[in-house]
Amino acid sequence: MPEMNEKLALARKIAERKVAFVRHAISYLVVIVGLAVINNLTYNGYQWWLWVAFGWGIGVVSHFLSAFLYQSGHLVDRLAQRELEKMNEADKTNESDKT
Amino acid sequence: MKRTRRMNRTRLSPIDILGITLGVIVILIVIGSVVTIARGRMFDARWSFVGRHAPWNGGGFSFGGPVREERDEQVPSGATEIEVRNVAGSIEISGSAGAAAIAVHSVKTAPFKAALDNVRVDIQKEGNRLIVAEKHDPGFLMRTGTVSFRVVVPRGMKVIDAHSVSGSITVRGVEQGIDQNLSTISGGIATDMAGNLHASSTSGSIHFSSSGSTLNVRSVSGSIDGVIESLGTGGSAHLGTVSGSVTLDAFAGLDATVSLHSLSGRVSCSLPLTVSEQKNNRLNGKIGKGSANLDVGTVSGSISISKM
Repeated sequence: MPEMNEKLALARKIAERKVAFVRHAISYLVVIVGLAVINNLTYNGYQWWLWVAFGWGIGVVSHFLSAFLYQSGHLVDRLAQRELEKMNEADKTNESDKT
Repeated sequence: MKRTRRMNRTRLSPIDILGITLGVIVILIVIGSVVTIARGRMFDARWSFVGRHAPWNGGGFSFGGPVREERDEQVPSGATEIEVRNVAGSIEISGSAGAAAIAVHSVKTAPFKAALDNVRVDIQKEGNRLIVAEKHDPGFLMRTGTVSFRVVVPRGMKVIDAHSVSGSITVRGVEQGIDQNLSTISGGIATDMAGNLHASSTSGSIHFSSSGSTLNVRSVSGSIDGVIESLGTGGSAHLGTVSGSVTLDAFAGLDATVSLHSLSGRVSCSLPLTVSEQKNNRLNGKIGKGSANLDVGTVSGSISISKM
């Protein structure tokens, strides 16, 4: 039962991160499109909104990576699992060499 | 079991699909903006991600590559003095016996159209003086356009002033004896037939010939190479440079008190000099009665004066 609660908490955390990213990305797109329109309606030469799109975009991409790739430490867990398996395999080969 | 787990892992919820789609869109926008900024296309490339005109814009923008515009400027007549102020372009002033008035031809260049439009040539007349100047409207990265001026002056001019920051200045074929005031930071200066001359450059070399009673030529790292055709009684000539050399040809009848001094450069004078002081890198004396004053100094450059 405690394990179930732990999983539920983790799933909730992951879902919250994804929803937060979707909100962040939508607000980014709305604001950037708005700035591009204002830029081109007021002065159609220098495209200053690209600087905002670039700077803020880096932040949004980082948010995307953390929400969808790392998934609350899953990557670390997977790596730790792999390292553990390597250690066990090494122990086994050492034991077989001794015998 | 393994297959079931893999299937569960690859099953995507609507929020996953939406999130990944938005993430990919944002990544494309960031890459597009980086490419656009790096290529300098944000200045007049509207909707440059998709490479087409915005619907409310009529067009008229250019993608990439330097742009250039040449024109003959409208110039008010009646000026006997001219002042040209420039920043990065060259200034060429030439004389024409057949010209009735001053003519100004400008060549604007810029890496993109908006920067080209941002450069203006401002021409004003204040009394007898015509002032030709390069002007920029304020704006980040919009001051990348430059102007080169080609000015033709008629006979009867009295003063020529030309100032630039990184462009060269050339005055050729003008009427003899016009007072000239020429200065630049990194460009070279070349002039002939000057009357009173004031010329200064920081890193460029200076070539001149003058016939006025005042000669003031300064450089920091450039060399000075000139001809003194005349220096009236009581006239003064001061020439100095830090690391460049000074080579002068003087007219035969020069009558001046001469002071040549350098910290580490060689000093030589082939004119008939009555020496009053001669040390390692210092040579003082008189030519004739010594009525004018000729002072030449360098830090590491050599000094050489010879007869024309």
